[in-house]
Amino acid sequence: MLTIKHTVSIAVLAGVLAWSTPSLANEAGDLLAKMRNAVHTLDYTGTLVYSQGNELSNYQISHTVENGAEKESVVRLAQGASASDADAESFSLAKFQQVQPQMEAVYALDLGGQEFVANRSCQIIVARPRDKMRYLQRYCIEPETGMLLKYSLVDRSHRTVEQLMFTTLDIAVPAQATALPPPVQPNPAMPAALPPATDWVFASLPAGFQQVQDLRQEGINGQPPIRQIILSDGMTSVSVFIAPPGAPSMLDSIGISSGAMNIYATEVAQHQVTLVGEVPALTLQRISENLQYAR
Amino acid sequence: MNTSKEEFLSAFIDDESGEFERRRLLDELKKDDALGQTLSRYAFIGETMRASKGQPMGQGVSLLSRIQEELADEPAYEQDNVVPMPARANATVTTSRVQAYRWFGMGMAATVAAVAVGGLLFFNQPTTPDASMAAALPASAPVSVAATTPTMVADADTRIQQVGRVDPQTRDILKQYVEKHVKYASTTVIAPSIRAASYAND
Repeated sequence: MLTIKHTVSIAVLAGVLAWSTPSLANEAGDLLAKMRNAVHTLDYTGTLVYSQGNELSNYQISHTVENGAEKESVVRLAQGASASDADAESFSLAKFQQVQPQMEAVYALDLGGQEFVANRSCQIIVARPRDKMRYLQRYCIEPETGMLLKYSLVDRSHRTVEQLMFTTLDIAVPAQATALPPPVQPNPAMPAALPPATDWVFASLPAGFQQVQDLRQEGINGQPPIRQIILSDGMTSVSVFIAPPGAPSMLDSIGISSGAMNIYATEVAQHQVTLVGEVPALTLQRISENLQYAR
Repeated sequence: MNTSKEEFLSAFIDDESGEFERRRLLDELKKDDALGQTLSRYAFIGETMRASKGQPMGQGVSLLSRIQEELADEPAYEQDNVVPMPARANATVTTSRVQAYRWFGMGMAATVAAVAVGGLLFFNQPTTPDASMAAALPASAPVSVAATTPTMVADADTRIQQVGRVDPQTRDILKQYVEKHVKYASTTVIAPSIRAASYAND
């Protein structure tokens, strides 16, 4: 009798979970999509604290939309007003993708509890990686506006490798704001996109990653141009820089960590290859091992 | 980490600890990574609380900077001070019969203990192993090389060296790569701007 009751309880619980889990994941995905839209369409000004590894810093961020064009400034407060030069080269956030199918294969989206950040209530969303090739991403998003109030990247050892949190925030919805993000302005500084690479190929990539862009970048200090192949799993990305033989060389093989960002440099077919990304160092190494020069 | 360490840490952050406690905590910080993480978290919380009270940010950073400077000033290990490990060959030559018996006894004890633990585990297996295994698995198992070769992954991870200091030319190249990555590839939401500003100010 006890066994039957136990079995029925488990079946009911499994049924409830099976029904509720996809809807929670959908809700989490929808809120993430809303957030990616909101950071482009809202006017916001705020102060945030940013932690990278053991280093803390404090920023004033301002974002406006004027005639469909985004303007953003990020000022590091600890260095005084002169640091406003940092916004001389504006870093548009217009490239962020919506939730991609391949993303759902490598992350599980969870809806968490609620927090109170910068005097606003926000909903926790967790993108939990299904393998060790990427970090756990934790967001706290204001449901009404979709604004991101708190964000952190957590490694496999449950250490927070990077986090940011608004301490003050003012949000205004611009008059011309619509449900869709403003049209992407052609960026004159955008380097030339190359056709899909045939000379450099990846024998395999970590699950979920795929090549999204192949750019030709000007060489450093008058050196020959370098290639930047961008890989993405839908939520995070890796740049693979390939410098031709004769370019200024670095050490044979190095790995550097700075908060969530890792850099791994090595040599492939006499080319200096440097990988940069907000993924574990192991992921960069795995990608570099599968890079092959096919010419 | 026990409670007293956290209390010391809290007092340390608030600049209320004495010289002795401060020195002791610095020694602990050098050995205990978890304590360092806790220090970072406490400082982050302190910063946030100060900001929410309308005080200017950055007051706690000076204390953190001081801690880092003190840690940096700690004497580094000199090559002369490093005591060489005894060579394995010498150890085998000097091994006496008494030591051999001692190793044999320890081996036997370890074997008996292993059999006892194994037996306990065998007899205490859950009655529904399928259910517990299903719960331990992720909702869907993607194809992953890493998942199939965990040992190799762990080994590979440790092979990557952390380089704290690089030469100016390498640093310059890496900095430009990071800027290009942040500008054209970084897909996390607000962080790219912050990262870019951070590197621009380095």
